[in-house]
Amino acid sequence: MKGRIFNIQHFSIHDGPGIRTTVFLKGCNLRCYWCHNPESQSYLPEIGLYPARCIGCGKCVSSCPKSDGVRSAIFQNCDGCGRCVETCYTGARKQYGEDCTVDEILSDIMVDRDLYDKTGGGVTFSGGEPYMQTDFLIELLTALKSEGINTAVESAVYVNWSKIEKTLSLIDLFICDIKSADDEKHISATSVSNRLIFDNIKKLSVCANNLLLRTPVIPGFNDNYHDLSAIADFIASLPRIPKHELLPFNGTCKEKYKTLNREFKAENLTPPSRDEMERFADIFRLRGIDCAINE
Amino acid sequence: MKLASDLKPIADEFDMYYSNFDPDTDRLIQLVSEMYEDFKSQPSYLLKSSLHELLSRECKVKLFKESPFFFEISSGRPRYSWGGLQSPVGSYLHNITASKWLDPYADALASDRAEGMIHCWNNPVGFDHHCPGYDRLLSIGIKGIINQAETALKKSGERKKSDFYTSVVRSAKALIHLAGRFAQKAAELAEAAETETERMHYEKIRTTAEKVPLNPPETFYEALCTILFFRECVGSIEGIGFSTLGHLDRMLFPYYEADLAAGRITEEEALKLIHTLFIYTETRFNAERSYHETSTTIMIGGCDKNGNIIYNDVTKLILKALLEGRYVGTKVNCRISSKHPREYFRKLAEIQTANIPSIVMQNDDVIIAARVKLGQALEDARLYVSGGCHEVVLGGTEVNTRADTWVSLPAILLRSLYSNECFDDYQSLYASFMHDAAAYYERIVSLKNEGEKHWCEFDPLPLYSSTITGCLESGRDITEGGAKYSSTAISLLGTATLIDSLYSLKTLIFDEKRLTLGEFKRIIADDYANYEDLRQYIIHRIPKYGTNNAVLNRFAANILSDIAKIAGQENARGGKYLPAFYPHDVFRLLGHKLGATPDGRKAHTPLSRGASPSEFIEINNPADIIRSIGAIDFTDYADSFCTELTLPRMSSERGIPVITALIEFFLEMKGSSLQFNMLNREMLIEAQKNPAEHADIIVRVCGYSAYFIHLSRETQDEIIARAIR
Repeated sequence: MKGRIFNIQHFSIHDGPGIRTTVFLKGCNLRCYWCHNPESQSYLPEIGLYPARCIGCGKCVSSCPKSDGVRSAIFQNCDGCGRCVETCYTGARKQYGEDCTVDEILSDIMVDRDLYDKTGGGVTFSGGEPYMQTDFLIELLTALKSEGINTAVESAVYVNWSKIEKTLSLIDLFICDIKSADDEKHISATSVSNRLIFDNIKKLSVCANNLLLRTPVIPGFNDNYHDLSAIADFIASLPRIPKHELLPFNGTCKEKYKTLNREFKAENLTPPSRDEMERFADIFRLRGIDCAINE
Repeated sequence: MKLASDLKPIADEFDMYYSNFDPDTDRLIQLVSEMYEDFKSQPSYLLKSSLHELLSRECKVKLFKESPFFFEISSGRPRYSWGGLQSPVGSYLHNITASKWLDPYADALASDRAEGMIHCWNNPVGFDHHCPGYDRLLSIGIKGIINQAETALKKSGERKKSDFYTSVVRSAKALIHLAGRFAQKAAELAEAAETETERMHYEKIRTTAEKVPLNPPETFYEALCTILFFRECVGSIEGIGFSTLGHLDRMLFPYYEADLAAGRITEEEALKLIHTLFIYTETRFNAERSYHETSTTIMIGGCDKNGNIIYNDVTKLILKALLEGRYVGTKVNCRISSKHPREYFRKLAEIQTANIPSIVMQNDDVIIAARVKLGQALEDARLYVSGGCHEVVLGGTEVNTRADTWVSLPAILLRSLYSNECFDDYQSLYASFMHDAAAYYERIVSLKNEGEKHWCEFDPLPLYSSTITGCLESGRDITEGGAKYSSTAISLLGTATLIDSLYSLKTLIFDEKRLTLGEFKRIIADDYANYEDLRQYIIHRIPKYGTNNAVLNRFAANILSDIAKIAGQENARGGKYLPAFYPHDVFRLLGHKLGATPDGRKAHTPLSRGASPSEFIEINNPADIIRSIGAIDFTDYADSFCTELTLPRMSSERGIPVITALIEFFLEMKGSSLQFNMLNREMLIEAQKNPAEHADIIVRVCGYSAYFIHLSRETQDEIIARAIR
């Protein structure tokens, strides 16, 4: 079986315990306007262009079956075939979306096996939405568990519970976003309702081996007492109160939007200050939630 | 530097003194030159003792109200120096007599230096990065040294040996006179003291300076006084650079233990003494406000001569002081081994995650084995220290002259390429390079030997020699090869640049036959002008050292094994030349003088550092660097071989387990020396200015990490702003 990924990042030290490898699966069913991995959203392969690396050799144009001879044309008719990426020595052209077998991914992941064991690290699956490729995810998780490797999954859980349920015994740490308790706001910011998400979080708080909830603090969206209190109330009402992290918005991904020639709607937002973040964290801590700020 | 309120007055007093101090150079030079005119016909040994006697009488002594140590003399040594040749009075004999031996060396190498083949001082003799025999000093005191020399003098019939012993006795007595002047000064200050605390402070210095270094110290404080007095005063008046305070935790622990048992010291008092030592270097070299090489190293960890692991309460105090004070001036070199407890590595990791970049780890398992491989005794090898940065010397038994000459291997490769029309195959290209590298090394060896054989005639070092095993026994100064081991090391530079260049030549010219050697040489000579696509192909599509590519790992291991064999010649002191790779910052300097290389490196950019991969290649996994060095046998390199790892900043909670694991991994992979770089703001700003030189910096951006130089200017600015916090 093959799955579609857009990156494997080794020596990842911010998504779960120890030294980890993060596998990014392509395709997402949310469209959060602040998304910091825009290349993760579409399931289709895409090509990004990093102009600073381009030396103007023109090989991409001549290798492109759809090009009309003008470099920018590749963006318009591109189907992500990746021929330009093969010919681009500088890495100015980068392919997002590659179909890999479980074994191919495992052989890459297993390189750092010794470091996972030494640091209590392991492998994190992120995205995109990993549950858009549930069967593939299960195969990977099963293979890792049989090797005794620690696993984590980052998901927005806007998926049918039955999919999640099948994976729970295979996941050591479940990382899940909780963006807004106000459904209208949630729909306008992410394009989907939060009802299914909240239902799933309730179930996860009971069933998951270890749950971590994360709230991105987005200026103008949820960076206020009212919205964060609503989230905190929900978390505090869960049967088992999970750990929680606040992630301050930062706009450093705008470069990636440029490489994809896509508009970044959160471009001009100002990240919250450290003091503000501390005050926001207190909203959760006052309700007895173990809340940390993850930068 | 971050100081608790009880330590601030110490820093303030040092700072006040060194900001305004007068080294008294003119008056002393005048006196020394008069002395020289009177005694210049005498043998060099006796002349040197006359210099010591004069300076011990004439240098003004300075005591501090806040520091209990006595070591500061106005000896002509400027503020930003640690003695040695930077001390114009102490090195007077060297400076006025040496040129006839030294100039031919400098002349012979002038054009090579301009071309970037070699970087060296104007001097074939290494006056710096030495370590006196602190153990002997602590165990028998100057008195014991004088007794040994006097006994030997009575038995000695040979003139030159008698002169040596005489000079040891005279110079050692001069040193005692100098200590006596500190005692006298302390007595005067005690007399004039305004408070009882102040009087007791100077009274304590008086009694201590009367006792040590004449006699062996009996307390922790006295032992520190002995070490500091010898390092500072002898470094100044003998004109020799002692860049290390020695293996402190091993030497000091017995005193500390005895003091605690006797109730003579508390942990807090010992910690304050160690802080004072750090603060002295920090303020003298103004480490907070500017960069000055301090050449001040403390060695910790490792083992004793019987192989017992050193990780004791003094080790912990030194690391605690470093963590509390956040000192950058003193280099703390930490000997690690597979036998050390994880707790030690966790402490080192904690310092790294606190972003204190002052520590280096050196692997006993490899370095001791390398020394034994050279034929040095195991008990001696176990007492190695590093002389300033990473370069190794056996404390008390070895005099290793080095860290003065660096040879650029990529420059030799280019010279080899340009002096041959073509090669039938890769093997003949490689053989030609190895031949040229060996020949060049031989040339430097003979030039150095030619100068070094006159060392004793122009500037013997009786005080240093009196502490080193072999000298008092043989009646020969270290400059004549009296030390048990007399080594020389020439550091080679550009490991990864060389390996990648050779692999690139093999791939392009002989395997893929993409172009002819002649064409490639023209392209390189033209700095890849109009061939940027070829350069990009080389950088991104040909495997590189440091990426844990199995083929490259074997390729690199073979080259480094061959390179190690070009050393081993005899030096002028009866010892051997050791292969070494310690880059200091010369990798930049020689790189800036060199044209483009076949690995895709542009002209006038830095060479690779130590055992690290080139900075302009992409490393997707820092652990691959450690795996790559696992293929290399570093026991071939007895003078150490440093790997630097750049990692993102991490909180201590996250970072300690990660760094601890990497240290253990490094031990398993049998690396030589290791240092981490957890990024700092200055470094990132520098990276913005010169991106090609800093392609290996990884930063955490938001949901992902990225190579710093690949981010947009705006993003970089933001991360720099974050690094301030």
